[in-house]
Amino acid sequence: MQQLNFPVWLRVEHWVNVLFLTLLLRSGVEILATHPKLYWRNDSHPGTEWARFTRKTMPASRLYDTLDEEESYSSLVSLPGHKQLGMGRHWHFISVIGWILTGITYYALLFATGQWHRYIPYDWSLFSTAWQDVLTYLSFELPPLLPGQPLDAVQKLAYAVVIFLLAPFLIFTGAAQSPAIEARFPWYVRLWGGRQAARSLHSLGLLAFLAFIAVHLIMIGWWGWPELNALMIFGHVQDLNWAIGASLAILAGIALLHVAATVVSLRRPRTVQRALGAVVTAARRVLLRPLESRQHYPRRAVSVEHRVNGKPPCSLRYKAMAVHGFVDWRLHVGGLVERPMAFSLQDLRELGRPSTQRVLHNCVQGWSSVGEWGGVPLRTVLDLVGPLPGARFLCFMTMQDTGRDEPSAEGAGRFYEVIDLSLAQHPQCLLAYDMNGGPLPIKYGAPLRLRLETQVGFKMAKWIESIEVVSDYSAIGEGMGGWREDNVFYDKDVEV
Amino acid sequence: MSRPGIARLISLYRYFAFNVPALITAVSLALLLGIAAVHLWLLSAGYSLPAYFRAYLALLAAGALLAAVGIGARWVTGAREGSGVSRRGGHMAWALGSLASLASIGMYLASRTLGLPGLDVLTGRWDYPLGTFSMILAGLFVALHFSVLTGLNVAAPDRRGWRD
Repeated sequence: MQQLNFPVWLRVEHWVNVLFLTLLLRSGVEILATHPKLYWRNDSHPGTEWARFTRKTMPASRLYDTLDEEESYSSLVSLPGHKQLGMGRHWHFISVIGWILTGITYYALLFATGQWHRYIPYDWSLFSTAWQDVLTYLSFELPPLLPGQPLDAVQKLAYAVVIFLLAPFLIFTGAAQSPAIEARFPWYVRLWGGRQAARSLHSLGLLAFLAFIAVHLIMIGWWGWPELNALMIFGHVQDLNWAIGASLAILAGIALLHVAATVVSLRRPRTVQRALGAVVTAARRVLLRPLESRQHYPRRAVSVEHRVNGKPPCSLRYKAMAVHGFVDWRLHVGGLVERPMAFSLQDLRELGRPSTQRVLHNCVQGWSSVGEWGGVPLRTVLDLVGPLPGARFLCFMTMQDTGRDEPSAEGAGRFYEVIDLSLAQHPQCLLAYDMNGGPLPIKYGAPLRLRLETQVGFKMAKWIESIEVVSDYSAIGEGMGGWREDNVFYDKDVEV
Repeated sequence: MSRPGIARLISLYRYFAFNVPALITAVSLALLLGIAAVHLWLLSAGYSLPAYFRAYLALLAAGALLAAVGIGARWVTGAREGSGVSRRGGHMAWALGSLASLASIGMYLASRTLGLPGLDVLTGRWDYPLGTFSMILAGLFVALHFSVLTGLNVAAPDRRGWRD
């Protein structure tokens, strides 16, 4: 076999890529576990999935919500495993950042150093040669390498597809699942066939990468594990025993990093949340925070049925209010404001003609639906109460007591969520009291819920009873910016 | 490994279920037609083959074609209850396809290892792309049939009755 003399940067990037790719695969499976069903249509209508990765069946005779549908996978296949979506998201997004930076560096160096000749086919004859190579492989023999090149023709084509098509495909279909991108560029989601089609394609891309890795490893074994690993570690073929040892040591090192990531995520999730969340949040704020929702889905796109996430309050007080059409309910807006106020449902309705918006709802679990929401823009209410200087955040307190109302939830206490005050100025940031042309149903948050279309669904608090304008949220709950942030370790800012 | 461990491992397949019957059925038809085409081509390629082997090739191609016709007919006509190919007929077509596939794999492996009467020249000749290709097609069909039998997949005209 000829010596390939892989440059140092390429060898380093190869192993860094192995680390990020495996982290992405495992954390991706964790994210899939939280709603282990794949659809083609935006409405994620129950029963229309084309694939499911769960043994659970939901009851037909009582209300269930999407938390009941979550699966708990083993840490062997998911990072960290055991139904830890918050941790899975942190690892997935930090790995995405690392993988994209690695990829950009890789592309730049590939073209700057002329190494792109290695992978990009620029001669039509390569395809006929590749066909001959396939026939040779089917004869259980090894085809010849391309003249002066380190690969045979079919390998060159395969690497070109993976590096220049499959990897960008995964990044682009991943981006199509960001609520902020979907809200600002609805055409981009349509380009992929919709939110759920993008999620399905993203998952199929994951499968394609798994298939590539399997074939890649088989090929290395067939062509010569010691020689090829010597080339990918030392840059040239030398002491093959050292090469085997070094390759196993590198793989063991990567495996150890996986074990460490898994253990620390399961034992000290708050540490992981703070450490990884700081990096991911910074990237989100720079790239996605400036995006504002501009969605206007046609009426025909509105989903017939929306999944339920979170069970309604079952307190006597709430039930009594519901029975009386919420006439006794009040929205209290206070804290750092000039004029603390209380609004009845009628007061809110009289603030002006309801603003309506037909938009795509993105649950953090991965399912989606399109709904028409009507209500009063949040900024209208804030203009009335007048936030004081120093006001930076809005804390939405709800009537849901998760310990009492949501047995599937990982924690207890009153549900609340915090958002940046600046988000209230976003168009389509709504306090919704109507849904699909009628009063907001109880299971979707009656009498009032938040709609904040650039964020993931859990930020849009339901069954709201008060809004506190605050300068700091570190003393609220566990201080992470919301009940889910406190208990399930999500980030506070979730444009993706 | 303990028995519960083995049971857990075997039951892993229950975590996977797909609802793409048209795709599964179309792929199965493509695989069967591919198997039939390979064997018909061998029959017509002008090789000097023993009569029993020619009969085997013809029988195998006919079996694969018959299975494809049965699966296709069940797909087209079976959706209407009480007419066309019955569910049992569909099952028999799939079984015939698997039988043909397993026979083709078995005969290919036997011809390369044990040797067949009048075809000693084939012994050890693994460097035959069409043969490997045919084995891949047959292996895929058997795997697909297995996935349908275990409930991992469904074949048209059946659909999942998922409601949740």
